[in-house]
Amino acid sequence: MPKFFSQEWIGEYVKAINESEDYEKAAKGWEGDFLFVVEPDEEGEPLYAYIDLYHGKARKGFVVKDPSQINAAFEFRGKLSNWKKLLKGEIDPIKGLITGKFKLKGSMAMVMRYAKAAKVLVDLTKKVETEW
Amino acid sequence: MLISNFGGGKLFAYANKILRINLNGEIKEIELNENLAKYFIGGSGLAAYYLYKMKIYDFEAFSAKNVVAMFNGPLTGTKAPSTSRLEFCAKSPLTEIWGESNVGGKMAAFLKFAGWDGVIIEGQSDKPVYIYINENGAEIRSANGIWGKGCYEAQKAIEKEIKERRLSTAVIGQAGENLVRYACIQVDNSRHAGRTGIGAVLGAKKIKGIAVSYDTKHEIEIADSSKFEEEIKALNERIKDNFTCNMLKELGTAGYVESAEMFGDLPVKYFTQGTFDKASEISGSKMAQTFLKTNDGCFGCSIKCGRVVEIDGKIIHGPEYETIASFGSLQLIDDLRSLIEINYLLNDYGMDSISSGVVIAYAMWLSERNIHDFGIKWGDVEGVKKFIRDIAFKKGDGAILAEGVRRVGKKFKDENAAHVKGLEIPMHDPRAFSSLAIAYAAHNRGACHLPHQMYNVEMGLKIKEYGIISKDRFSSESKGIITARMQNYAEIFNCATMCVFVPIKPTQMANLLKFATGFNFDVNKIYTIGERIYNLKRMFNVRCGIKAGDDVLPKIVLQPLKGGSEENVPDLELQKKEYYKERRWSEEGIPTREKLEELEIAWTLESS
Repeated sequence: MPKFFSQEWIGEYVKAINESEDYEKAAKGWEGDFLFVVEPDEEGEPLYAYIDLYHGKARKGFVVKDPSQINAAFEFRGKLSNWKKLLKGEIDPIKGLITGKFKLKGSMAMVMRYAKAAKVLVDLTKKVETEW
Repeated sequence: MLISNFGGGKLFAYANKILRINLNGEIKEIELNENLAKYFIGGSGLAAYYLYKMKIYDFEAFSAKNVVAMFNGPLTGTKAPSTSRLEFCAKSPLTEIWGESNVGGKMAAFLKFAGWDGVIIEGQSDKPVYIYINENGAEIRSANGIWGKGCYEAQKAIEKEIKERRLSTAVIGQAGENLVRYACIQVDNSRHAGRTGIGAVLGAKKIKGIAVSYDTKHEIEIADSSKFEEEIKALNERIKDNFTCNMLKELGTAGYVESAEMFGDLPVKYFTQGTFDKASEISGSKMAQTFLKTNDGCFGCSIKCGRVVEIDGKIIHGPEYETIASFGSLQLIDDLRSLIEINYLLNDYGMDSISSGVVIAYAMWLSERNIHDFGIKWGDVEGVKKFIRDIAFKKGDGAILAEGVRRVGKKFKDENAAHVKGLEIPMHDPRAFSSLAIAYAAHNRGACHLPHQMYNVEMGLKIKEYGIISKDRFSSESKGIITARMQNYAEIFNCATMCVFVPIKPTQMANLLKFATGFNFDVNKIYTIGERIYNLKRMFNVRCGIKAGDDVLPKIVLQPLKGGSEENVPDLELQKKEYYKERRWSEEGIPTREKLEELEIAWTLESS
């Protein structure tokens, strides 16, 4: 079972995105790469992952060691406990942003426009078995 | 430690004076009583107290005996953000119960700067007039050359006549003049006191407009200015960092359209369809990428959710979420440009966009079912524009629709009129967020999404101080309890007066009020005040004949739909039981004597 935000986990997730017809439909016009950030609840280092999303597909995805080397159009960050809630379906990405559990950098217009695609992206994480 | 409640004989934060205008020409100044300020704060709290005491519940809404009250709050005109909110209150001609509508712009602040906490307008004029208010009092002026004009021209005409630099205007359009039951009041060219038809009450009184200016600014004394400013600094930081505020700034309220559709919260085809695949064609995101020129805001607001758009070289105000949904998805219109044009017409004629959108969608629905042929079909933009004009001038079938959905439903013996107590259902669906069922059914204004905003609670907003938490948006359990509590707390926004978009915590709200007024407010005390005001308004409605049987929802919004609401139907009976119990209302829906005594408003039970 791949560990959350490991290279193996990202690889499985990218595969799940690319196999999803729902995502392809919901994100048909989407253009924008993401830096995802998992902040520790207490002590420790943040985890980073990069995924390039384009027209309903994930073009590439990898674990990031040094975020200063990445210049993504969007950044989505939150605490580990909130990521767990997100992946369990207890909150969805838009609700998470509205309630301040996650922070977003990048074009608000794009993200709000593709609210459904964001929800499918989260739903797809359920296809990846995850070790926390 | 706080110093005395009084500064030089005056209450802190207040102007200490209320203007009482009778249209027969009698104009009086009354002093604001300290106890009233402590018990009802301001805004619609104070207005509810005065209108109850004046027994306007006994009179017909269009009669000379109806009274219009407009109040600001103790935070208005201070550095507290987004507090230039004015509460217009009267008996509603649409619902025939408590009527209230909150509006931004600069009028609330200017009224305070001119030295007034509120204005009470009585009587009826024979001829069209407008009221001009400044620090010296008020003048009733002829509106002969202005009557008959649309809101935009009327505001210009008043501005031209008064020639004051620091001027704020509120006007009605032809809809208000012609007593369309959901006519609104346009303030400063862009903001609207939309709901419950108070524009028509002004129309019945022959008041075309109200103008407020100030020359020498009334100094607002703050009880503890250093603590007040500290609290404001923290709140401004919170606003700067808040996702929703940033979304509102960038995309306007219509930035929510796609998310609403995803949750099943966006009403479609007169509440009968659960999805709308053209949502992104009419959204705030689309507006930002096409017609948007800039954003604008009310006096003292950093959120600035207003939209300024350009269309055919003309710079005008763009539509909000409620307008986009009620004329877009609800009527299957998927062209943003047309919605901008429709919004302009509604503003100029002066009509509430929610009520008019729902009533026109109802006409489409009735036509499709051959119940009555209004000659209008889904998505018919030109037909909609024609109906807006016909409603404003009460021409042809427009005269029927000018009465609102409840009366239209009665006329055609149809049970699918989408309203509660006569107020049309707004653009949030109780099937998507269950607590909206009781929130609409039991609200003092009728079907109303403000100021409680239960959809935010269902999306995860927690107010832990009062135990307002929803774990599941579809469940009905405990929703009666949390809705009653949220309605109590939210009343404070309409008293303070503060925009509901401000992400303020109860502690911050209590502190702002405490440091501004010097009154010993805390989280519990402001909640009790909110509950007092909510129950006072309920008692007003009880006097109008409202009972438990009126706290219902129409069946059109209780049919399961596919889509984001996942065929959920809220259990209104369960919610209502919990709600009455939490409120300590009788089975008949009347607040118990015990509850009223606890809230110190048992005087509302005294015979009329």
